Amino acid sequence: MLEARQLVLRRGDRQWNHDFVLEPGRTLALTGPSGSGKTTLLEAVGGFVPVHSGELLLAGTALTGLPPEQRPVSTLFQQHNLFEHIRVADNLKLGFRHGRPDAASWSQVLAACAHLGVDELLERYPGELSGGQRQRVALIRTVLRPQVIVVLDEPFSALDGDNRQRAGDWVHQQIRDSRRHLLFVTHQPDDTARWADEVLAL
Amino acid sequence: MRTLTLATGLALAGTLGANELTVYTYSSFTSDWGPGPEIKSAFEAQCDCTLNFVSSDDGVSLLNRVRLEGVNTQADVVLGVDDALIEEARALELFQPHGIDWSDLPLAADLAWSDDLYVPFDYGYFAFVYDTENIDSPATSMEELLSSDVSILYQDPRTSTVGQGLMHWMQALYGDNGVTEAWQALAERTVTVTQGWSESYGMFQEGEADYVLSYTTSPAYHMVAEDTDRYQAATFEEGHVAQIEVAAISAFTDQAELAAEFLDFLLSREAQQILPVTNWMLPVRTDVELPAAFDRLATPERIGHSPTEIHEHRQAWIRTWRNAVSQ
Amino acid sequence: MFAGRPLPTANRQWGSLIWGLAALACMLLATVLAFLALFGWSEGRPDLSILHDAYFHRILRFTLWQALLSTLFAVLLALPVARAVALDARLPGKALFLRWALLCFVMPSLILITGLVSVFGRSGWLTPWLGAGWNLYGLNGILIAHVFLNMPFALRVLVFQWQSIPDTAWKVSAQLGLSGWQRFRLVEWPAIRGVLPGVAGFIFLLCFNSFAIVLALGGGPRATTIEVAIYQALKFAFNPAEALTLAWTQLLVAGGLFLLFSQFGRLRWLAPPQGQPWLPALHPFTRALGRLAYVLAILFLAVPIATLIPVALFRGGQGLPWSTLMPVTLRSLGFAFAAATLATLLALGGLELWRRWTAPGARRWVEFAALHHLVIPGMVLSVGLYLFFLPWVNWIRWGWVAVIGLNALVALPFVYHQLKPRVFDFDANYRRQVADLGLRGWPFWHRLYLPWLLPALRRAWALAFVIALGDFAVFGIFGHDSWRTLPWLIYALAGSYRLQAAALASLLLLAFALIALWVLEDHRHHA
Repeated sequence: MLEARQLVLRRGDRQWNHDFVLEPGRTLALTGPSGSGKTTLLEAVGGFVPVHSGELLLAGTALTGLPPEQRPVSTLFQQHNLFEHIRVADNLKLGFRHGRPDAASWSQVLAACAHLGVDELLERYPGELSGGQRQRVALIRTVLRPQVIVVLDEPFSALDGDNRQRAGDWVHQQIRDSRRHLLFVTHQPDDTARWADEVLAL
Repeated sequence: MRTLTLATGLALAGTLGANELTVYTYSSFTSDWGPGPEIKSAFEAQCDCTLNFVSSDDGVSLLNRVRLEGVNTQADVVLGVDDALIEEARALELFQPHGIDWSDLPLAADLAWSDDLYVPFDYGYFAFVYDTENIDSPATSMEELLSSDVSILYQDPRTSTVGQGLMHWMQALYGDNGVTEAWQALAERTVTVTQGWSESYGMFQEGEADYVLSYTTSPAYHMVAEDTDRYQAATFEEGHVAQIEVAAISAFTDQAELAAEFLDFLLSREAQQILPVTNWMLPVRTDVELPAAFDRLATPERIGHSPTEIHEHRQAWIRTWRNAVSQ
Repeated sequence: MFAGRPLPTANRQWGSLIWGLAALACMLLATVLAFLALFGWSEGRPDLSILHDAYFHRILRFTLWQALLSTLFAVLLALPVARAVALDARLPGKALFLRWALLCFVMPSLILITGLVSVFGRSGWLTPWLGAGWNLYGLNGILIAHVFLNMPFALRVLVFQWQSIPDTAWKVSAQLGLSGWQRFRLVEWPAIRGVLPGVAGFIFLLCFNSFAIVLALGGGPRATTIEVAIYQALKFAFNPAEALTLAWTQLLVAGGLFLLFSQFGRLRWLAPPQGQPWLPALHPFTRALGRLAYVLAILFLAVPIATLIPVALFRGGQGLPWSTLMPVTLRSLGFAFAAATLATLLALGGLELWRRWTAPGARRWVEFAALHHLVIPGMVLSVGLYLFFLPWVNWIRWGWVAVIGLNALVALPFVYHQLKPRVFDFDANYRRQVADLGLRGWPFWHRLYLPWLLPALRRAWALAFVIALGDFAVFGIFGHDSWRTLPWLIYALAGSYRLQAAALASLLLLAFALIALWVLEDHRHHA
């Protein structure tokens, strides 16, 4: 269970207060206009923005004191998710311990790639991919990393139609099956309706 | 890491075994055409040891090296310092007495030798050598040379014992008052000042200058080895400065006995027979048979300061030279 | 008010911190110890009496004079050539010419010296046409060599300046019907005027610190610079006191010059030449003149080096000192390899601290430590360290350690300069991603960071390798003739007029420099 308890975040002279509880296997969608603090909340979960006061708890244990490297959080940022100088396959492997996934994890990654239509791209460099392809590759790595909390900042922004539907369904199912926690930011009411178990409107 | 190992290996090359004698000397001594190879085989035939030469560019850098290494030196014997530097080396306490009794030896009277640290092994007189195909009537005095319209090569007194010899010669002839003017007159006729003797002698043979500073014995090499009288040394009526080359036992050696044996060998008739026709200098013994060419060499009058005087004034004289020729 | 809890700092490894601190210590310690020696802390105190010596005044004057002349010629000769390269659209071989110019700037001096001696020396093939009074040794040789090394630098900067004049400026001046002279005065001169003081200042500093060229081509005490005098005081006369005074002079003058010239801003000389924008029509006369200058510059920069090939191969491979050449070459390569690697490790260590310490003050210290060796003359650093350790270290045996270490420090600013933008980009783009992935230690370096740095690392390492391979000054102090490096072997061979062997050794040195620069340049072109 992920819990924000009287969490206060600040950026500049702006302040946001959060209180929510998210059960394992469930998805929380963050919505709201630009500047409403969605990204700031995601960054605070990842450990990139300091918490002003209050607590972030995972199964009753505080996350707030941990540096980003040690948090059980896997984040999809809005940009720079893929390292441009290494191949797609190596980018995917970096999601796992020492950059060396075990056979089971790797076959899971390959299955996801086939499912989302990026399995032909593994030997390419990110620069050779389209925006939608890049987003799907990054999404696969972020979601399949063995972290209990998954945080996605506008994960489907470069995807349309079928691809978007397929990716969203896949993420939702992964989280549910593995009983982890998902927070994601979106501007599309459709996304919320389809995949969110709970909505935090900011 | 391989590089470091390689470099360490290079640095350690020359580490010694028990029955080895390490002799520091200047590089032309150890070259294929120098006395080194013959001296080595002759000494090894009688000593039951291995003789290793380690060479520096010149007598001056040889002394600097021994001075730098101090207690840690690998040298058992240092060979090739000349009489102009022996007092400086004595003051630094780099050498130990050799224990040779001079009274038994038929040494050349010119040397008047009785030193307890240094053993002379050959000597010669500095002289300007000329090519008879270029010069019909060579200068008969320094004065004449400096006022004639010729080109000259000589060596840097800071790096070469030959150049240093010229410095002492000029000081002996002109004294502190006149020497600056004399240097400047020489500078006007100088092609270049080289760091070592071999550079300038090579240039001279290529025809780059009329005169080169060398030794009265240099023509003997051309007469014996090349069978030509083309190169001759000019004899100056004011007299010439001599260079006595010496060897000495390092104060820090653990092979003092073997080192002393080597110094004895250098004074033996066998070694004295080798040196004149390989190092092209005069033997220190009078009972050595020399090729006929040596009889035709100039026999100048010896002048110059004593080693002690040289030691006192050397730095000042170098400054005088530096100032005069840098104008 | 209750302040926000601080963001927990990334728990990065001790390894990189220790590495960084060790690198920082090496960079600063060398300088500090050298300065202690300069203050007379160990072997001998500065001998100030030399300051009243006419000889000292003369060499100081000559040092400044030759640097001034070298600078003037290098810049003035670069101007017409740079203009032709930048503005004459149909000039052939420009790209190759500019690459060659870059190589000329980092050319190991001894290669050039052998080439110049082969062309202009006493038995050089051009000498018979130069008139009876010609003598390469002295000011002539020094100027030719300095112009060869530095004109290409001025040329590249000026080409870049001319090319950076915007299209619109040319178009407007064409519409206004400006004459060639008016256009030069109103459009071109303002663009190049800004960089001239910086270029000239930098060249002046390089020529002021010149050692190998002056030692080899100076031809005796009449043409001596302070750097050479320091070397002579220590190695010829073993006079540390005098060496210290001269080192102080060198340091103060060079440092002062650097402070003066650093006022003129940064130079973008490594920036690649741009494509062909809209170029103005050149007057046929100035175009012809520019082409003539271009051809002459190509001849000047190519002939001394190209000459080495026939000279080296003249008599085939016979009579060449192969047995000497082999160990010396291996030693040189080993030293340069070690120095370049050490410089790279030091730079990476410094950059680890730079990444870790985000406070501007701390970062400035790291930068200072890595870059200050650019200003301190290598000879001053060498003499300082040499004298500092003299009482305890047998330099004839351990000098190679100093040769490697000091060459690494000399090359360090160039390496650091090449690597830093790449490191900066990495952190700017990926810092958060790396933290989120929890990547640390060996997997981080091996799978992510080193592959990212690789192109810059190769370039920086190659540059350091060439700099160390051509080293003459550091070896001059610490080296010994019983373990010579290739440049010193060339010097000895050329000094004893064994030109063929010297040319061969020079070609070897050039080949290794070229291999390093061209093989290690990044040839992959992905996005």
